[in-house]
Amino acid sequence: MKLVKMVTIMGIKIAKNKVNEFLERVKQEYVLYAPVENGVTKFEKIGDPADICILPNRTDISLKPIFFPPEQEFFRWSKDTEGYHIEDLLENEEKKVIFGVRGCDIRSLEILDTYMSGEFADPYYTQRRKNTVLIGLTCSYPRESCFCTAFGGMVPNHYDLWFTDIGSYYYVDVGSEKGKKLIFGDIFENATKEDEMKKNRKIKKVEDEIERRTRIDLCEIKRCSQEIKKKADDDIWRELGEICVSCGRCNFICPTCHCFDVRDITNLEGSEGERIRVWDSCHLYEYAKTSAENFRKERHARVRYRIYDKFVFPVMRYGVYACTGCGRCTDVCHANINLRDVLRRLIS
Amino acid sequence: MNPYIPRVVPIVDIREETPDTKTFTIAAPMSFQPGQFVELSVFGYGEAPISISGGDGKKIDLTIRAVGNVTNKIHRMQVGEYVGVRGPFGNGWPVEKAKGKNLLIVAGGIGLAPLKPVVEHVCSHREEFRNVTLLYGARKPSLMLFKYKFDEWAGYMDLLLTVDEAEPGWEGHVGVVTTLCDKIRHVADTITLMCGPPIMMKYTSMVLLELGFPPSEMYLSLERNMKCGIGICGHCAVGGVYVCRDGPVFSLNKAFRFIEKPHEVQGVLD
Repeated sequence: MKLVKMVTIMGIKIAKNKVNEFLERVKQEYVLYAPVENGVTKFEKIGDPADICILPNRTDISLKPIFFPPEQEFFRWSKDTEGYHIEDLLENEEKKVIFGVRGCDIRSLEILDTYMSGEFADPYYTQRRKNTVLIGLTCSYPRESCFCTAFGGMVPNHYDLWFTDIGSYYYVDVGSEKGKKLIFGDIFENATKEDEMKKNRKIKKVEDEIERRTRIDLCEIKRCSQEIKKKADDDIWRELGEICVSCGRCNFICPTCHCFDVRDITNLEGSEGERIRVWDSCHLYEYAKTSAENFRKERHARVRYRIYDKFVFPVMRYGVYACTGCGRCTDVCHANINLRDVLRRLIS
Repeated sequence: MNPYIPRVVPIVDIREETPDTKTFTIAAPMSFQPGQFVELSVFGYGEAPISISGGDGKKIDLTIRAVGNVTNKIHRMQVGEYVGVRGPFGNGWPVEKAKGKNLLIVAGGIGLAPLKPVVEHVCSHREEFRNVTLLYGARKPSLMLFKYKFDEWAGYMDLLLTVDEAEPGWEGHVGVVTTLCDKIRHVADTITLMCGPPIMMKYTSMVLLELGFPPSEMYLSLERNMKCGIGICGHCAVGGVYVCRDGPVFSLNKAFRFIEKPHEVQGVLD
């Protein structure tokens, strides 16, 4: 324990009024993304750091669209004498820094990575994911729907830099070499022991608050996969099936949902066009339809499938839960289905 | 290599099989295992997963029923027109496992298409197998695929044919596939390969289980609407496996195991 402490680099901090200067400097080398408010809060490419909105907690819309946009062009095709000419629309790499991400955002990227650049590789996602520096921010207080403590806590295991508000400063944790390169000597200062204690207290306070609200015990979550697996015939599915409207909003807002449909768009003559992918949702009627039959015709089967695909199947295949506890699905649900309540009922 | 980019290839031959099914030969140089599938692109219409029904390394055959956008469009295309193809994808039939054993091939309707390469393999390597039976059912005699091949195949294996509904000129068996199961002359040491509509696979596997065929030696090819073919788009996921990558061929044992409560393989095993 002692040894670890000795090699840990000295804590650092940044004055709040220097953050814009820091981001301005970052922008000289990277494309900067950060939360902005525009009706909803979401991550956008930043021109002027003054547009950035430092929020008390997570954004309404996750990081997913940056790496997996709602519509992604695969390639352009055009008719020629040799059949068709195909032009790959794989973008060039973009060095990006994303500022103001939360623990749930980073965890969602880890989950997307296992799906899309792990066992199977998706070139379009992987290309966008390359050269990404993540600068996280501790939440000031949780949202009503948050339950990230159930899936690993507010501060994730991997980050490049992690900011925690300690008054007039942000305490800065350095998590990687990439992050270390952004520590400009003239902007950051050395932190004191007291600053570090303040940071730890702050994180603990928010995590306790989330835990108090969610009341999903961590050890219960650990066995929730097995519990849910046993509940395939539970009445809860019929009940949820009756109130769910199959709109697919929970899929689209979910930071780890990654299903897509592949489509062609063409000009009127059909002589050229693009192959694109668009987000798809397992709640939609057509999702599991084949030429022979629709495998999840009933709404309750689709509700159940989504819960299984978050809490059972990924555990079987990859050993991870495909949920970050961000609570976005609860926030957007038309039928007021609260995922936390569903989980609580399933594991009780 | 970007796995989403199709190879552009011409259609070199079209053969009408039944009023709604045609076999397209496309000049795609590709080696494949029997039971694998490709993603067929018709530019402007999209992609559809189609199983390979034959090929010689330079060309592949795709036997296609007109049901959706892509398949209806290709039915209106001519020799010389171009399509796109990605693949082959999937695991294919465990033909190796059947060496030295009895082989039972059960097909329903268009389900014979992915099994045709196996049947052809049996014809050219007959000595590798002991008893071989092909059990094939279709709705009507006029909807049977590859009828012109039956005489040749009958020289190599027991051919059990049935139709749900007879038509003038049909002298064979009438009834669903399960009504022929007791005519199979070998039960022990038999590898079963099955492909057909979900309802047919469900009842046939139940009847075969009752007759004593072991579930670990029965293989089913599942149909799903794969969009990507590489395990990402999620459309083919059942119970934690991707039909496109881990399948489409699964042993009945494994299909049971997907989930204790088999709603996920609804139609096959529920």
